[in-house]
Amino acid sequence: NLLFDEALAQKVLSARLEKLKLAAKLLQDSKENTFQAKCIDETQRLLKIQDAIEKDAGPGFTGLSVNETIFKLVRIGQLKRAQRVQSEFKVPEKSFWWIRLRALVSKRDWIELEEM
Amino acid sequence: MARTVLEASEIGEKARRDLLLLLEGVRGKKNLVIEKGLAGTLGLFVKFSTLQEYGVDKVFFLENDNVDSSQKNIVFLARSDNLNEVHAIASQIKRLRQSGQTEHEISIFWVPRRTLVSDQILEEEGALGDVNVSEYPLYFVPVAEDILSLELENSFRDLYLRKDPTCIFTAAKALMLLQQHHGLFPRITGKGNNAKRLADLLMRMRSELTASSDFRPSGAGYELTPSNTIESLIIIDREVDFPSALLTQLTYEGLVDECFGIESNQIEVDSSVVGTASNTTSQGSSSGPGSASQPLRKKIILDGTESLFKSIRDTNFAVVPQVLNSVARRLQNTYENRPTASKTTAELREFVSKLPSYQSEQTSLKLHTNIAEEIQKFTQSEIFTRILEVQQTVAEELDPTSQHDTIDELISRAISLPTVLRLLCLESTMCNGLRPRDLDAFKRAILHAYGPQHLLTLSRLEKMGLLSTRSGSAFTPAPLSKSGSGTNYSYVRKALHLYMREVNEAKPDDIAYVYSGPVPLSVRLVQCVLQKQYLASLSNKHPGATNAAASGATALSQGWRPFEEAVKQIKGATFDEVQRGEEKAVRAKQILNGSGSTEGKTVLVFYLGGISRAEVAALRFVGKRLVDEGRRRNLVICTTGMVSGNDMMKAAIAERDFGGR
Repeated sequence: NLLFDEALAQKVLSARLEKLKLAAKLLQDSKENTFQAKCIDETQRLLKIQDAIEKDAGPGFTGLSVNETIFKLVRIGQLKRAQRVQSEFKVPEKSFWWIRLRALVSKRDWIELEEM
Repeated sequence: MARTVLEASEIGEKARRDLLLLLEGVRGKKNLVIEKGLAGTLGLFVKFSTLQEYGVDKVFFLENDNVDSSQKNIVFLARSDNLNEVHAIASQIKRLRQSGQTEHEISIFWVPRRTLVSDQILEEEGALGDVNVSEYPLYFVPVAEDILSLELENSFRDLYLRKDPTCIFTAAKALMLLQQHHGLFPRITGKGNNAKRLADLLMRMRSELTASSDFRPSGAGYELTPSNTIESLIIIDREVDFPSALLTQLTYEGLVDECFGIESNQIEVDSSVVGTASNTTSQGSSSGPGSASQPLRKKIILDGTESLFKSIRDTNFAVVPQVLNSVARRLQNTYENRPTASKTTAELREFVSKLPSYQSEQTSLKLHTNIAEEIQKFTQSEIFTRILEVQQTVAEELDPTSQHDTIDELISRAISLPTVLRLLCLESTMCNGLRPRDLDAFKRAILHAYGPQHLLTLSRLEKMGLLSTRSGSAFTPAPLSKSGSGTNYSYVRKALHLYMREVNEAKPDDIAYVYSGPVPLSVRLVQCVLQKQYLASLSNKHPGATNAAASGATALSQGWRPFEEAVKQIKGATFDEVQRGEEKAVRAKQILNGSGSTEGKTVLVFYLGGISRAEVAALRFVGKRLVDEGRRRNLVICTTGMVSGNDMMKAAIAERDFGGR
């Protein structure tokens, strides 16, 4: 567990340090901490996706959480992408709607809001 | 040596004298460098102008790292238990040496004592050499007239996350000092593993003192006699009662704390909230020191000196608007009476002499009305009611799982992370953990909503024992420690009446009013010791509860009796020690003082790991009730620091995130 803490602390430097995380993950596999291993795995995927988004949608995505990413994507009108993120991380339908609702409100996009 | 009843002002006065004495020891003008956390604490008993009289030229914050070399003398004032601070001091000293053209004379005052570690660090950094190092024994600081605090802001994190017992030691030292002043605490009662450790430490320090005073026969026996002003000491470990700190506090002061965060009796609010009310007089408000760049924030001092605040701080927020309203009406009346009253010059003079007090009352009224309005905005929001709903249900233990949907919804609505964590931890601590499946689902939701870095947060919460999975199906508490592990809430709730269904918020008849329903367990424990009859009468009213308690409950029984059974079900060690002095000395004292009546004695209640403001309110209420019952006691609350649920969560939350911002 400590090792994993360290890994998390170091990752802060940048996304490039993902390899460190990989090492941490390997250590996790041996024990029964499957939940944590899964989370770390998810984190890596998230970082990769965020990196990809940043390439075409502009900076400001790394470091966000899953929900925040969806929120931001909806806000800049990339609903499809947002839905892809949703399915990728199995975000429950209910919370996805909440996020979408909030995002549209903050965008003041009343037309799309009504379409929902 | 003064042997009066324990007085907060006296302790504050002593702290002030000590500091000034130390400052006097440094000749000439000097620059003072303080740790930010200490600055507020010092502000509680020293004014900046007083410091100036003692030759302090400028004050710097250690964290800002901007000491200049304008003065020859530089004084550092910092806590010795924080290693980062020590390193910062060392590097600053080095920098001053290198850059300054003048020869600096540097002194360091360690609060509260000089430690081996800090010395060693300074030596390693090569800074110890020609520095004057001394101690500034600042322990208890009076926060209000009945609250003494060590003002260790990190005590919670230290105790439960890092399992660092330093603050227990500090607490023991502080209590020892009190004992030397006022005599031994005749009885030490307590609950919780850390509390036990503290009591053991006190015992040991006492025997050490005895041993050392054998060499100095004069005045040795004096310290060893039990005090006749202090009746007992009750130590409560925060660990025993996490939930009450996690609940949203519903007293006025508590809500102010929840909304704005009180630090050393000061809050910072937008100046728009305060409006123009505070600009007219200095009463109750003062702008932050020298921060002209941020005109939007305003510092307000809240303490018992303001009569209005004193009267409403401990009341349930539901009644605060009424009180404010009636005060406003009264003020208006006095103004309207003005023309009729001013007939003779004598009456006129009398009226005019009262004017300033009216004015100050008016400004404080305005201030609190504004704050109350702001809080009302907060409490009337839908989210707030949802949160309360969850809390009440969990505390009543109707069916906590029914609230999971609400929590889920709150998470997806991105309410602040501490709030969510508080709800989860509350449920976990009250129900001995969550079901593994639920917990994992929540963890996932949290990581999704607030970012993967909170994997750290969650694991820290687990380490603190705030968040756990329920092991097994029935109530078999998780094996946390050897002696008395988890708290069996479903039992204790009945035995000690931890949930009151009918709560009278305007005229409180039970401490439950501070949370509008749930009763803080920690305060109930104090009642177990002090207010036995009251608790017993509660059991009689509710026939379902244990009746064993009622039979043996007399005011005469001491310690935990007759509530041992219930107390045993609560996490942590239980202890009850009687400290006796030398037999002869005791008898001599008894003859001197007549029969020992408990009238007006002081009871110290020590909260290890912090106390929440609502609990303070509840304890004050207990004190008031004791007076009503004709058993006057001085309840003095001691603590390592004030906490709120948000502070507890902050101790665990990981600050950094990906993206390197």
